Amino acid sequence: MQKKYINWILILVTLLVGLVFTIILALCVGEQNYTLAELTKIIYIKTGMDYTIISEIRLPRIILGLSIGGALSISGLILQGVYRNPLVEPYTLGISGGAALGVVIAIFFNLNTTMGSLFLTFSGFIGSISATFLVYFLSLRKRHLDVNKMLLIGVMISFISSSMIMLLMSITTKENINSILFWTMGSLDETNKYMIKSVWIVSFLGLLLSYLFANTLNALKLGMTSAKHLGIDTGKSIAILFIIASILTGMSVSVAGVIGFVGLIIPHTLRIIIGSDHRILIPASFLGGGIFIILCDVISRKVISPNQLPIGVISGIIGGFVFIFLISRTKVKTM
Amino acid sequence: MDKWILIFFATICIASCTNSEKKEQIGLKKNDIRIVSLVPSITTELVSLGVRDQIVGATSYCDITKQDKKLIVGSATEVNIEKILVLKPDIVFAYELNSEKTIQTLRNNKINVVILEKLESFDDICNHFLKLGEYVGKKNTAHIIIRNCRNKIDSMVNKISFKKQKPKMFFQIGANPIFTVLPKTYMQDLILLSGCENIANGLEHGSVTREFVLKSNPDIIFVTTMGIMGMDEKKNWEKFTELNAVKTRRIFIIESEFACIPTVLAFTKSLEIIFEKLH
Repeated sequence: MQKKYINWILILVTLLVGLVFTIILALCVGEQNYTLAELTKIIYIKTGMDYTIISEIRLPRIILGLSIGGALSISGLILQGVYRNPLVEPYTLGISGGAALGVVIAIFFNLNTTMGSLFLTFSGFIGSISATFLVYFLSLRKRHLDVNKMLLIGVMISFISSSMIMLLMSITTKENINSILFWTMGSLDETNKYMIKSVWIVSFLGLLLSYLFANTLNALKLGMTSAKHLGIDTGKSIAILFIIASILTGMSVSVAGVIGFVGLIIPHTLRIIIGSDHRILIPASFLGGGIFIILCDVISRKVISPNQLPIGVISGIIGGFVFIFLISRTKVKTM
Repeated sequence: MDKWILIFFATICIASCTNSEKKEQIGLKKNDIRIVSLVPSITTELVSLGVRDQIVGATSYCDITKQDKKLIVGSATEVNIEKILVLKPDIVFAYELNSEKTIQTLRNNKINVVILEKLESFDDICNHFLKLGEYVGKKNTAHIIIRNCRNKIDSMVNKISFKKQKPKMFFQIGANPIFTVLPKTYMQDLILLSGCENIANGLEHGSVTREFVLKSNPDIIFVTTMGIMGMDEKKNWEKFTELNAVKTRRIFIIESEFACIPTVLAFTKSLEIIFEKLH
């Protein structure tokens, strides 16, 4: 087997082992810390408050963290590949802005208090899909997608969404302002098991689907014309990839709020370490994003325990510093 | 001819403005002070003191503006300074959410602005209510209301059945994130007067994790309504069968309009609801 593929297997195994260690850490650390021996005993006994904490509180957060971290990383990776722009990530292109606006509108009209908190997730998802459709259809020119136009329209939609959110915040009640602020800072606190399962399924399907386009993304690195010469139907591929990225982002934002920079930090960090072949980058980004978000969640739960920090704050600060450190110390491999 | 038609319509307009101004002043007697309230809870207290007709301006979140939108001078955080100046109030009640610039502008225009202090206990609420009564010339009414409420509370407290060990209470006032009642707030007195202990004693910030609540294992949980989110949260807590409050079926909903409003009457009503559920 080629050395390259052996390296890839080693990378994936390393990431999987890292994920296992991260999961164990997340299960052990919290309001009450457990040693590995205690954790094993609790899982074996399967009763008591400690087991409830592990199985009903920490484990769902870990599954959600892995799903959302993975989804946002892959979404960022796809969008960077499609636009061939290293600064692009899910939050630049209006998808998350649309989701955030959908949620804020629901809070503004008190729909979460009249129809349940699940309605917030639904509103967020509708908002993200609406933004996706807007970007897509406004970028069509003679049935072909203009990628540069998509980028500009996406950025503008992001700005418009932010402005509308500020407008709604300025005229709503004090209680709604608190709800909006905390939602925009992100949280993995979700008690609905069906929601968590759905997020995991969609995220995993997103991973599988995007892996089918790994070679397409590799070809797109060479430019549109070169990709076409290699037999890639760029128009159709870009449309499908954009939709995959939008669904993954929309789902993540509507369930967990705004957890920024994951889609930027993780793909770029992994490119520095393992190169820019999407056949390894896609699964590595999924695992790397999951590990990152689970670790951020542990920090958010522990730093000012028993209070918790919003996870978006942690991912932004820590991720940003780590990324600047890596970028400044290494030569960036081209996309 | 056109000139005379214009003068005719202008005269009608001026006359109607004068009439409407007279109508607005019907409720106010010559010596009544004109009040603007930028704090929904203070507006409620002013109504209970019997000076509703003297309120010439209030926020869109005050109950009285739901019946009379002309009274609206702003929202929870933003006020229309020009409208307040036009109303020529004798006193404006404000609080921490109103911007300092707004308050300074009003004071620069020689308007008396009284800022509501932070209310850390039921005693603070009573003292504040007395001061409010003094400002609007209804001190005796305030005294009577406070005395009646304190008598009700004293008779309730005497019925407390938790003699040996105080049960632990978790009082949830927010969801996503979960917010608890903190010590040094007036809602803490709801917990203490009902004979219970707050699981959040010692905390300085109200946002807590679900894990913290599980670890504290409260005997009683109260959740404010928050629309239907209160019911959703109650169902969420009921999934954790290891919780003492779930085992003894002591998870209750309490209306936000009573529990979360810092007025003497709302506080007393909240305590009545708590006692009804617990004792």
